[in-house]
Amino acid sequence: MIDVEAVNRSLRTLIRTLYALPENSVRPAFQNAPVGVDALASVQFMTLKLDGAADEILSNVDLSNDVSSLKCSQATLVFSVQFFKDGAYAKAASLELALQSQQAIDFMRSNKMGFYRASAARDLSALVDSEWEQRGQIDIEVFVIVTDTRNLATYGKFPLEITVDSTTVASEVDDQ
Amino acid sequence: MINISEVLDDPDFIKRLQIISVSGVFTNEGEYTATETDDNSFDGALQPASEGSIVEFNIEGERLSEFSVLYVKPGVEIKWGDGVGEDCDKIKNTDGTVWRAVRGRDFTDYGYKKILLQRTK
Repeated sequence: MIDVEAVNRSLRTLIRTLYALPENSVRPAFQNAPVGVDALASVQFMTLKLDGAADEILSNVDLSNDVSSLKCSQATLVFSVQFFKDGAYAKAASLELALQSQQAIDFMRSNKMGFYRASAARDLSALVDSEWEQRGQIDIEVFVIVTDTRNLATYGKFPLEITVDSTTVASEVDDQ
Repeated sequence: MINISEVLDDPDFIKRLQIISVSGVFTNEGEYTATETDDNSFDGALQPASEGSIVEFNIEGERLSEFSVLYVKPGVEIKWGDGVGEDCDKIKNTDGTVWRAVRGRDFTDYGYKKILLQRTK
């Protein structure tokens, strides 16, 4: 499983740190909350896509328990980041470069994710109204490792006999 | 011409409503948690918002919501907001519906306040 909210929170921390923004000024999108008068940003989760087929790891193959199947894959997550008010477009336009800084790479590595690529930054303030507050938006793609664990039923009990020339070994796969 | 301040003294036009005070904090990287407190009851005249009222209050993209207009006496303290400053109060109607006080105009000189309410539930 993947905790998308945790990835979103990590990104908010990273963006706030990269631009030295005040505490809680990079927020989840679509909150029914007062905006405030200072510059802020929002991070919205958009899509998740697995990159290729997943590897499978089986464990507990001792027939005394169910077999645990762990599927593991890399996934790419897309987040929409919006900046509002002073310098909004400049921040959006420079985010791709900022995410490639050593500071960002270290942070993402410690949070088990990596930066993949970004879209072109868009100046949304010009699209709405020249009198509207300044807004800048950019999509960023990060990759993470996602896992999915399921229990598989074990096999039933059956006798087993192996004969090699003069020797016969009888055994039984027991349990279950 | 109707004198609204006089209507607010007429029991045929007003009913008992309740204020729900809302205050909130940002924590955990910008996550907002609001706390609601049931506050005082008050008398007010509640009616559907006309197109003119919605245009007057300029709600932009929120115009598709359900709106009402509330008239109260100047002494009734209701915190309305445009989402920029502090969070706004909510009003609980007698039928259980809850409305946010999104905009307001203070006509104290004429004996009333006019508040635009947006339905939340």
